[in-house]
Amino acid sequence: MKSGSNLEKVLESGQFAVTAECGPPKGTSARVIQRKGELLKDYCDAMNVTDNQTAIVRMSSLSGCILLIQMGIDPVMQMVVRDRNRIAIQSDILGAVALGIRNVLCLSGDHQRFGNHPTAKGVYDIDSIQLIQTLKTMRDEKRFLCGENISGEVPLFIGAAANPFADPFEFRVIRLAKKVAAGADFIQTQCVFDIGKFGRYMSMVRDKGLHEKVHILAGVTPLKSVGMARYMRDNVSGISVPDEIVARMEDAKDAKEEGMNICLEIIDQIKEIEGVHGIHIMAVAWEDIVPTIVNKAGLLPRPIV
Amino acid sequence: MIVFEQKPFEEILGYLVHDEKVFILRCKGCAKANQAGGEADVTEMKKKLEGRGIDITGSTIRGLLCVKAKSILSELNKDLVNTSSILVMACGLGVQSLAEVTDKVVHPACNSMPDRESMERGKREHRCGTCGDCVLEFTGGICPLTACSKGLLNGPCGGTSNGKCEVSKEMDCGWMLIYDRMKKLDRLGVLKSFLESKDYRKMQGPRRLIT
Ligand code: SF4
Ligand code: SF4
Repeated sequence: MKSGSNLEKVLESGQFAVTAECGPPKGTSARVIQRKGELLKDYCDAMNVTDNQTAIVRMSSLSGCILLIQMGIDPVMQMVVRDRNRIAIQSDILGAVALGIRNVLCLSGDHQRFGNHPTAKGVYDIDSIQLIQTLKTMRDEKRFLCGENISGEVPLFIGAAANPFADPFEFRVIRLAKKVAAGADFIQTQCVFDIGKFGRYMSMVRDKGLHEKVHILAGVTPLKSVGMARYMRDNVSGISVPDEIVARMEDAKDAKEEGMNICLEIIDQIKEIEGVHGIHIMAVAWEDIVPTIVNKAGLLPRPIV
Repeated sequence: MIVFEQKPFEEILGYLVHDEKVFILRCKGCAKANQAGGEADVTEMKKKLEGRGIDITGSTIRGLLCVKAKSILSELNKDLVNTSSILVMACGLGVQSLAEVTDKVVHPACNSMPDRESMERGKREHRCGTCGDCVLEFTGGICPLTACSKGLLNGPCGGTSNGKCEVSKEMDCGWMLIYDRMKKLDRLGVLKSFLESKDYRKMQGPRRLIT
């Protein structure tokens, strides 16, 4: 075991993992995190806490993770390189480990121009792949990026993101390979709507044998409304929502139910793809639906490892 | 090259509230864009300031304040005797060069910014961030530090879409340009190699360069 986190144990035991996501509040209320924790605790193996997602200031990922740990939930601390240089990053990692955080997801982060502080200076001192390598060095060699020694263990389960739908398609697998070579233990992908494309991506992943070196969790997002489907198709770069899915949402009597059904169908298909070891449910602003989805997808009870 | 434009008048006026006598010095500028309209700028500034009760002791336009500040100042010595401060219509470099050689208060009248026009494609100056550790060998001769909005060394990030950057549909994704070029050159294999984090000391600003 590299970290002994619940997520690592579930994946290493060969079981199909489920992770969920928790967006911290734009405020100081611990209750917001605790409520999401209570809601999702029994329906996932670990919970991601986002790091100022879309560059909007929110409660820090690290503190959200601590609130989850206090409830007995295994958190995945998301960390973007947009806001921290290598000094702050490594310092936060030391603190996170000291407080019991074991899973870290390494990300570039949405550009600051999207958020509520578009005038901010972006940091980008290191990139997301260099971050993976930094964490691996800290864990395996107990050294900082500069080479100096770290006192104490740094048990980490290192995660990275992958976007099978962004251009250039053929290069996405090469970039995944770079992440694996740098030290990624698990991958959470961008949300899958275009299952055909995802299948092609995964076959390229298998051709390179990457599915044996890293645990891939496919991202899924239940669509809550027609507007959301259209918005994600037209405005969110790096997400591909096929027209037929948007059409299904448009034609549905009950859009919410149709959104959930689409999500369940996608999960069913994902389960059949060789090399996918779990799902990561990103129910943006619709956390309440997650228990139902996990239940209907036949993924309960969650394993005790 | 640095481009400068005049600050809002009220802001300049705010700088001058405690100054009884002000001399206006305008740099002729180093490029066409800045040279044009110098006389008119100075005349207008003088008129507007006098209209608000500021005593202007004189004004002049001189070439290349950044390199000739010392000689310009000695030529102006007489005019400056009765002056409490100098309002400098020049780029940040010109203002600093003058401040270096005079004990009088120096007020900047302009904002300086990068020359966007020369940043456009085809004009070369701003396409190199002078990072001190060139990686163009590995990126098909396209600089990831200046062509990618995040300066990623191991791009592209997940936000690229239809060849454009996540930041704007108007902007090419630098890493797509790199990818396309490497593909054309049949050198995609090179992109598999991992580029290490940079030594940003080599890229430090003037604080480090001027010793
Ligand atoms: S890699 Fe560095 S030296 Fe090379 S072009 Fe880019 S900024 Fe300039
Ligand atoms: S979309 Fe392309 S240019 Fe924009 S930040 Fe990502 S890699 Fe860089």
